[in-house]
Amino acid sequence: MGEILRLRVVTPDGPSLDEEVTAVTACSEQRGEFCVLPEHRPILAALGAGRLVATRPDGGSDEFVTDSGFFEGGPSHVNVITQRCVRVSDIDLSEVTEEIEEIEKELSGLEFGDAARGELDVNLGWARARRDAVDGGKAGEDIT
Amino acid sequence: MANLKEIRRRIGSVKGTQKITRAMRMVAAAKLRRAQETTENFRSYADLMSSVLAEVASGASPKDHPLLERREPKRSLVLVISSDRGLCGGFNSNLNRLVTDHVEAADPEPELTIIGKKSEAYFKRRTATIHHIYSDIYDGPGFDAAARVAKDLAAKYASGEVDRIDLAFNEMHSLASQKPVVKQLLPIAPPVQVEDKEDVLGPVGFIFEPKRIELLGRLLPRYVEVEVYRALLESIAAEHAARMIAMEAATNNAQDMIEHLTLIYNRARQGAITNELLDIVGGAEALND
Repeated sequence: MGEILRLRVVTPDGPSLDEEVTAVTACSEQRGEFCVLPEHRPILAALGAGRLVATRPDGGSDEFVTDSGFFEGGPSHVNVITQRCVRVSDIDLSEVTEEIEEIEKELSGLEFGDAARGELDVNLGWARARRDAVDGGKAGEDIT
Repeated sequence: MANLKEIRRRIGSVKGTQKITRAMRMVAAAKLRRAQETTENFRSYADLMSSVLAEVASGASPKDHPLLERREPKRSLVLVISSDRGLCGGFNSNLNRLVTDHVEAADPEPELTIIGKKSEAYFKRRTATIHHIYSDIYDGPGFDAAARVAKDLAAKYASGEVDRIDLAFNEMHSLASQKPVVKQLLPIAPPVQVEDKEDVLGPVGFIFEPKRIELLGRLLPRYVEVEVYRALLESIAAEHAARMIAMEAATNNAQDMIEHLTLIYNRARQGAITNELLDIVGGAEALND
């Protein structure tokens, strides 16, 4: 068990991932990526919308995008609590680009301080994170 | 003969009603299964959120965050979660009665924030002060809708506009038993850590990123969302269970009534036949005489 982490990603709609992995890379709230390996000291972090990479025991990796949430890790497990999670290979870039344009248009019509901005900002962050994960992983490059 | 026709019409009408109640029972059963599935899916999210909050909040003081701060209640709110539709037995009336008792017993009297047309209609006819009505929650009762309500309530509490917020909703104890309850939402009473977190590394502390207090600030509003959604899901499941039981009882009652009316019909028919026979026999006798 010392080599393996049980990675669980849960959303309000149900568990979206439950797998055994050897490493997990996530995107912190400050847009910095961090990696957790087995036997890591317990960690609790706030996550921003961004990439989540799970390294499988066979050396390959699975890439996901999660919305903002929380990351709780221990020596043999990682739990990610987030509102939304999607596999990068399932993202349709043209659809996401359209979504971003729509949200930006909607935002430009609102005044600063408008209550509706909060939800739109969250949705924009989520859409941008998905776009960045597909078109070359800009979300990861931003912090280096 | 008009009497017989009338009874036949009534039997037909009760049979029609029985068809409707049977269909409603089946629809409620299907919706209940879906509601239970949604609740089950949400449970892992809610449980993990609770355990993370318990970790971060252990040792936190009420001064650490506005949502933890306890104040002498000068103004309080009750979020009443009822249903939009009726025909579900005592589901709404039991809840409304409990809320009325709660409001009358509390000092000062709490104001009401209402989800569901049934409580809205009930309390509009009474003297209770209605603070706000969320009328579109059942259009798509997902997490986002609950989160919107939770954000509103948390903002009211954090700004000091209200000093206490309770939730009133039906809890599902079993398929046959739903019980209305009033539970405190704000200030938050953080969940207590139950499991032993000392993993193989021994009692080492957590690394918090960002600082514990900042994490607490992010977790607490989310926890309010979880609690509101949990209550909403519980209420939806309880509503379908209550409707299922009510429609089952209505179907059985209709069956009893059909049997009773059939008995009366047969008796009347037999009576009519006997009368006809008596007439014939009487007529024949008269001819013989």
